[in-house]
Amino acid sequence: MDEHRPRVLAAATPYLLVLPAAAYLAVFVVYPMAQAIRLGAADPHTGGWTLEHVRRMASDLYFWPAVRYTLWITALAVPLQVVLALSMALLVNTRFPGHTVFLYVCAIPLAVSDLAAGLIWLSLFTERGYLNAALVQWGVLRSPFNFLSHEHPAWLVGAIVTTEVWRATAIVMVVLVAGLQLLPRDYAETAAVFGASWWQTLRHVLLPLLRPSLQTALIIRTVLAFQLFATVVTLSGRLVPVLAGETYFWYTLYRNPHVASAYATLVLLLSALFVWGYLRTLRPEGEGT
Amino acid sequence: MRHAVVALAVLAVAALGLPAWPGPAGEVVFTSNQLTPVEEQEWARNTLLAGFTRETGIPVRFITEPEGPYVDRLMAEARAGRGSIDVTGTLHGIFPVLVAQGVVRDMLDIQRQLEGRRDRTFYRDLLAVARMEGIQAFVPWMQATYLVAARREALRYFPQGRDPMRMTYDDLLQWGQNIREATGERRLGFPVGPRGLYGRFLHGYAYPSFTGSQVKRFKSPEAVAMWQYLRRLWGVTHPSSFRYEFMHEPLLLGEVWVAWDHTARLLPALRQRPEEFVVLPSPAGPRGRSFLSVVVGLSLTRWAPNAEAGVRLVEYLTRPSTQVLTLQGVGFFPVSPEAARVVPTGGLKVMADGVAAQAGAPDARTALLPVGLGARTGEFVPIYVDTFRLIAIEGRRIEDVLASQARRLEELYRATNAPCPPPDPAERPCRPD
Amino acid sequence: MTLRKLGLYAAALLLSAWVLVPILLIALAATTPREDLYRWPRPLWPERLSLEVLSSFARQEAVLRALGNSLAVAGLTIVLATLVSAPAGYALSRYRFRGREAVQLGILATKMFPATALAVPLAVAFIRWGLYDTLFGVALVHTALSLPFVILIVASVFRGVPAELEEAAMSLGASRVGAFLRVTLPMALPGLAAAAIFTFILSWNEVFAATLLTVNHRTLPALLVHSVVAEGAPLHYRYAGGLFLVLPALVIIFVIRRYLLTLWGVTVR
Repeated sequence: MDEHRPRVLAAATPYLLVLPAAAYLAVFVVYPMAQAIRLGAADPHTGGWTLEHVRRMASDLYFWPAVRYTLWITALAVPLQVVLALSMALLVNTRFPGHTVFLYVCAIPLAVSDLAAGLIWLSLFTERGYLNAALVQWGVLRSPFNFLSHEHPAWLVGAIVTTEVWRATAIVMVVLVAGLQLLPRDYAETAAVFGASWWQTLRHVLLPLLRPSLQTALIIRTVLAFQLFATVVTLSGRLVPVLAGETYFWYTLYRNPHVASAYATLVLLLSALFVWGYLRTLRPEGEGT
Repeated sequence: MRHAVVALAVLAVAALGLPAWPGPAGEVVFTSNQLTPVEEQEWARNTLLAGFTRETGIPVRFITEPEGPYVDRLMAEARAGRGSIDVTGTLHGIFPVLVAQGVVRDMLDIQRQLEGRRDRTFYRDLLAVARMEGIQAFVPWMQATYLVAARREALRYFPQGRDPMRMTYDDLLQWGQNIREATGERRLGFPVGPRGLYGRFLHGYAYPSFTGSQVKRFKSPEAVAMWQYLRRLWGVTHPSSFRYEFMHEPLLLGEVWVAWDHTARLLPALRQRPEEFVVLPSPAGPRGRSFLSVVVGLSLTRWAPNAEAGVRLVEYLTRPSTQVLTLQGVGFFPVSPEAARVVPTGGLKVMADGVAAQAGAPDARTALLPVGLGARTGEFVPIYVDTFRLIAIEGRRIEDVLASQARRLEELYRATNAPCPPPDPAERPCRPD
Repeated sequence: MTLRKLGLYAAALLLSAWVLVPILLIALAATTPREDLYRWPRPLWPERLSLEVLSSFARQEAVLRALGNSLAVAGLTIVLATLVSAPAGYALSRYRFRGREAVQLGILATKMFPATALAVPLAVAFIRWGLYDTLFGVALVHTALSLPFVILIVASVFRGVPAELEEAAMSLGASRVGAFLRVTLPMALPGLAAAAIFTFILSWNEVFAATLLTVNHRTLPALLVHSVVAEGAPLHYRYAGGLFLVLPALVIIFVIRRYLLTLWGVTVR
């Protein structure tokens, strides 16, 4: 029916469809965000531009550890989440009796906030926590082990990654299950007919078809991983600093919105960089460019 | 049932976006970052403020939350020039920020008016603390301090022949070592977590006790000796201390046997099992037994929509009988001599004995929180905590760390032209030697 | 074949335990009487359970009111987010237009800025606009915070529906709108439902804006987090608060699971 419409309108359709969302975000996110970014680069007295806040951020004791730990936690947690979520999704997809219950169980952490998750795992990991109670009771340990100790930063990061994987695998899983459900079943069946092994089918048929879902899941998880801090603070205080946590601390503890905004801007840039990377490497096939 | 219908109706109206402020006529909105734990909140609403409403018929909306959102809310209303908050109550250490941003009004006339009622006076030193940038920033409401709580069973590891009520820093270290040798565990605990108050221990307790100064002798030879001591103390401190923010929890769990913290953050443990704990004064160093006195003050916002009722609330909260009620309810101590004569019981008695022993010790020295740093007040404590992190946790060379951190301290004081906090002489800008 | 089945079940059981055991433990911690909670060595299974702490929570009037607030905000957020995101998601999936990538990236970029730093500018603006301390205001912010991901998911969902079907319908005489309504939308519904839960959950769990933008109209998680969980409440209160945060999650996911699966059943084959 398009030919009955003026061409200009047809060409404008996608823009008109996007417009409400763009306008909404402009008012409620971009406007305050611009104000905040400006805070990160504005001189509080003269109102002119300055790199002073960025310099203070970069020379802060917690800055480089925060960059390092943020990247480490993301690099450890996100791949684990994807692998675990893919296993769950494939299990659901076999449609074994009881797979609906299994799907429900796996989806539960989807609705658990990072704070609640931090609290849950804190009840396990402390010296007097459930993990030690169990290990001592079963005779594995003679006395409780300090999982959360300043002497073992690796354990601390491990505890944080565990909590993150536990909590955030669900969202990846849901996206992947949804993606798998939308795939035509005969692809896999055809591959099997031609003698492809399970692994080959997964690697060469399912995964490429799942690409759009995987891309979505990866982007969501990575962007959220850069925002992570409630779990980290609950489990490790500030011994494992992360960028979003530093934003929070500069805001609420030091009451310095300028440096906080500089941190926030850095998180923005890092996330943008990663998302750009995903968009380039995971572009769905058949999309030209 | 009718409640539910009304609630639904209110919900529907609110959901449609009608602004909820100003509140119902005559209501006072009172915000604070104190009394945040849920039990204290319930007490504040059902006992403390209910009494005010019974007496005056004025309902109070009490909003208590952590420091971050608490200050943010005041700032946001200050920037907009209007809002719903009438009265606010917080630590004197936060008031400089509020004064700098024009949040609170001068309370001098109200304080005079209250003292004119002749039923109360305020301790003079507390009133002096409330003077900031030429105004009386608050009326004192309640006060607290920091000291040591210990399990009774831990006392048998206390160094032989020494008196716990006259503990020195060396005793504390020896105590921790004795416990470690006997049990293999580190049972001393400090609130080193991000919202813990360990920074107060460093600048208000250890520094003045070892060097007789908070800022001026920051990198002196005595300070170097102190950091060597703190490093050894950290070696007998529970390795999860970096996570602790309120010491009552690890004390009750038994992760920690000897803990230093704010009275209000120790009290839940004492209340739950008063017979199992003792409260001891903070330790003494070569330059005396320094401790901080914490004052919580009340002030009216500049835009208070219901200022008149707000003043009545301030009058009620600072009344001697209310101060006694507050002591018994949440363990904050009175700010008026008229209220200080009441003798408490139970866990509160254990606490009050410790407080009295600390304040009454012959070598006691009061340190005060820094003032005059304005909007940069929040940067003072982190300098000390960062120094601790670099020296004790990361093991850097003490002299180097002190030199670089002293530069941060100097920059902070130069930029704000603030005076040294006692016991340093009040020269401005304060400068580490 | 049986061996494969056994492996399947073993894996499913293991993964289920991984998810469920921590939740079971927080439930246990929340119902252990406070004296037992502080005892050591702690018995793995407490001798008695008590609902004392939990019921003292539920009895508070403020908690019930906050629950109502949360539901209202989450509901409003779902409606708003769906209305705004569906056209955008459709456009991003179906049209090749200049600047499409930039639009997509731009929308996502709004999610990359820590919400902490947005809070104060937003609060100031809301006071000016008269939205401060209203549930509607909170819903507006929750919508803004969830929109980027919702649009992304919606776009991905529409992309999963073959465009050929829509074209076929149009070649059979359906209008573009008609083809969308009768072909694409039904096939996309399960994904859209998934987007809705996701929105609901984002709204439920968003605490920062909900705390800062309200005084009297607190959502339940905001109330719990700031009175119980974050601010050094005694351990038993914190665990009870944690369970309270998790419980609705169990229920919501359970309810929506049925709904989702029915829809998926329709889509597959």
